[in-house]
Amino acid sequence: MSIAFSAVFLFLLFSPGIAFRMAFLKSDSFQVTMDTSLVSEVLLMLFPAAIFHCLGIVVVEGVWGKNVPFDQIYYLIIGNADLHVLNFAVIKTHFAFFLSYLIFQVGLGYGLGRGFQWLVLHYRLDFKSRLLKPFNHWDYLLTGRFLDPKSKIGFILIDVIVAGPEGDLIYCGILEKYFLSKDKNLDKLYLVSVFRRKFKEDTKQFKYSPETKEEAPMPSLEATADFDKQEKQKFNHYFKQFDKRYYQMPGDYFIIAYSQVKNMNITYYTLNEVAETDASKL
Amino acid sequence: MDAPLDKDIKKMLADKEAAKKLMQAAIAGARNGHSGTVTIDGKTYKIAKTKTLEKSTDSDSAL
Repeated sequence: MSIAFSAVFLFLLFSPGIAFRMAFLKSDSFQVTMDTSLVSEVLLMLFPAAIFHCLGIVVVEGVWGKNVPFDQIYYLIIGNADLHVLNFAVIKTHFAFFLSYLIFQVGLGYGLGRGFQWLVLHYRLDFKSRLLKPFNHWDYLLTGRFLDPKSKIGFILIDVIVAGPEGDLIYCGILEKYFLSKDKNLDKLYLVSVFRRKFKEDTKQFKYSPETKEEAPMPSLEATADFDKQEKQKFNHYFKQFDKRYYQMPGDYFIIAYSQVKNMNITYYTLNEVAETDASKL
Repeated sequence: MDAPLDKDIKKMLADKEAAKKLMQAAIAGARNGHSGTVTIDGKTYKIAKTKTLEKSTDSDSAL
């Protein structure tokens, strides 16, 4: 019996563990969910596979009263081609059951993997142990997962600097989707409601300056009960300058390859509905 | 993967004018330290910044 057959047979035995691991690491942003070249991945798949098979044997022998032909499984794993030890009649009898058993175990492995991922994410166990991190660091950044769970994110604003023929350009838009490449790097960003401006047309040029040239720190509206005249003027000033500085990109989606991005700025925003009386104060 | 997007934001993005106001509120308002507001369908929403990260090519250092 060839080594290749033994490898295929071992792969089949590992398959519930592979399904469990893939389900746990599942992220829609990945084109490939895991790096199969890593020995650690094989070990992390071996343990759940061994547990699933141990439990499977208990159920098959204890509940159904079927005898598992361990000797034949052993000969198939070691690739023993001796026809005196391989019992094809036994293999033939158990073949259909073995396939059904594997399909069930793969399904169970996948389901439990997803369930385990949900538990880890729900109870934020991924912040307690590195081994329990199911996602790539980009996922944590671009979903805002690493932020305080109480701060409910309304949307994420992305600014990217891209080289243009007349100098650097800033594209600013709301992140809708992102994709990671095979090597676990950021591949593409899907932005909506995108505005563009030249990098050199920074706020300096449009900075609000009443009498003093020095820019005063701008307190947030919530932090200041006295939203004085000067603050209001500043606020209005930036609104008015918006159209001069920014060009609204036509189209519904703006897709940008991360390989073209020089630098990226991520801002997380919250959105809260305000009562009409409060709104009039703003 | 889908980025977090509030259902009310989706509603604003479907309307070009509201989407522009949202971006104005976010860029010119909230980013400059104020809480920008957007009104759509008679409802007013306050937009505020939660946290900013400066992101360079060294992505690992960000976390």
